[in-house]
Amino acid sequence: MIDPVIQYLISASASLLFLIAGVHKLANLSEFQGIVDNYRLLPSSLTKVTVLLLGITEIALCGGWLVTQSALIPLLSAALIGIYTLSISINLFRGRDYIDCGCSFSNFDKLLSQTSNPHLSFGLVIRNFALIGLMLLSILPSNSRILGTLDYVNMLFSFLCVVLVYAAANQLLRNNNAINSWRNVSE
Amino acid sequence: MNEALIISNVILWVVVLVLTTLLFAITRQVGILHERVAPAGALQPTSGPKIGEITEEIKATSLQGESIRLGGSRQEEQASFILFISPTCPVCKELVPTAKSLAKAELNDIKLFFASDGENIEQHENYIRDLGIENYPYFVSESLGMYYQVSKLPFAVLIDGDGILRSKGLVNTREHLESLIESMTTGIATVQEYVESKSEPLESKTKLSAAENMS
Repeated sequence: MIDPVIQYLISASASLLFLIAGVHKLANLSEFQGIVDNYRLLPSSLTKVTVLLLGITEIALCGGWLVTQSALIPLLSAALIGIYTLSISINLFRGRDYIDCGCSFSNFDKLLSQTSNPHLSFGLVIRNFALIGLMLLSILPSNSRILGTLDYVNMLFSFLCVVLVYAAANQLLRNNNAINSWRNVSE
Repeated sequence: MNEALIISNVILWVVVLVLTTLLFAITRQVGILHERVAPAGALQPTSGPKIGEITEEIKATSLQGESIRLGGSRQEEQASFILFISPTCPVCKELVPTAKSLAKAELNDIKLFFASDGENIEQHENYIRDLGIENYPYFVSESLGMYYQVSKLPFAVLIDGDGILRSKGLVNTREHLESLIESMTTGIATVQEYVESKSEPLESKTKLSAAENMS
């Protein structure tokens, strides 16, 4: 059993995440083609279609999270993030950890943080697993409780906190890249 | 009672929100600091041999008894990293362990030497024992310091496998030491040179894309 407040919170956050990701991809098609090319998993003739498909899927998922409560949406989202995580893991395994992960918050984020895009790291893999776990959590059946004003206030504040914590976590991943770019000298 | 709970809930939310905002701001600031703090390079004197020149060959015998040729045109795989130190220089003592660990990390690329001057050989031998640098050749040679015009310590010189002087400078921190190796691997001698080279490729890039557009 899961409380509807938590369910709504997860839905709203996931929806925002996919909205930003989808808009970012569709607005920077050529840039993303380069990023997908860099992952070296697909023939380059397919990357344009892939980016387009990913962007559309993400926008569809964004709408899905808001509109329906069917278990299909969390499952599809988890699968999509699973694919991303797998691609990241494959490239980490290949040692190509210097490529742009393509998971930044778009130009808006660049403006906001003024720091470079995150590269691949195991931190990203862990972050994605956390996202998958949270999304799957919302499949649990909810108790139908009537929500009051306080519930909505809670939802609003916790939503804002989730966004900020996610942004901070992403920034920490970037900072870690910057620190790792130094020569590692163990005393 | 209920009202009190609601108020406390709202107050807590406001506090949590403020704290998360601060957390985000701090992580962002750390990130911006990393971007903005440009690595400071070693202070490079203008006197002495120039970067990119073939160095003069200097024969020296280390205190450990090894006879070694430093500089001069030669064919070696490793670059020579000479750190000029002295028993009377306090910064040197702190820098030596750093130089050792750097040499270990770059074992395939650089070989570390220490150089100093002064009459009192016993003092140098004690110094070597104190610092635990018995495994690195240690020269007491005035000509070495004279040739590279070492005026302040600790001073480092990096000569590549072909005997070409790749970088040199007054080094006080690990960052400075790293900057010398970095300047050898990138072929950029100073930060000033880097800044100039940064603005040039941009222009040539725009020229290139203009040419692409025309074709």
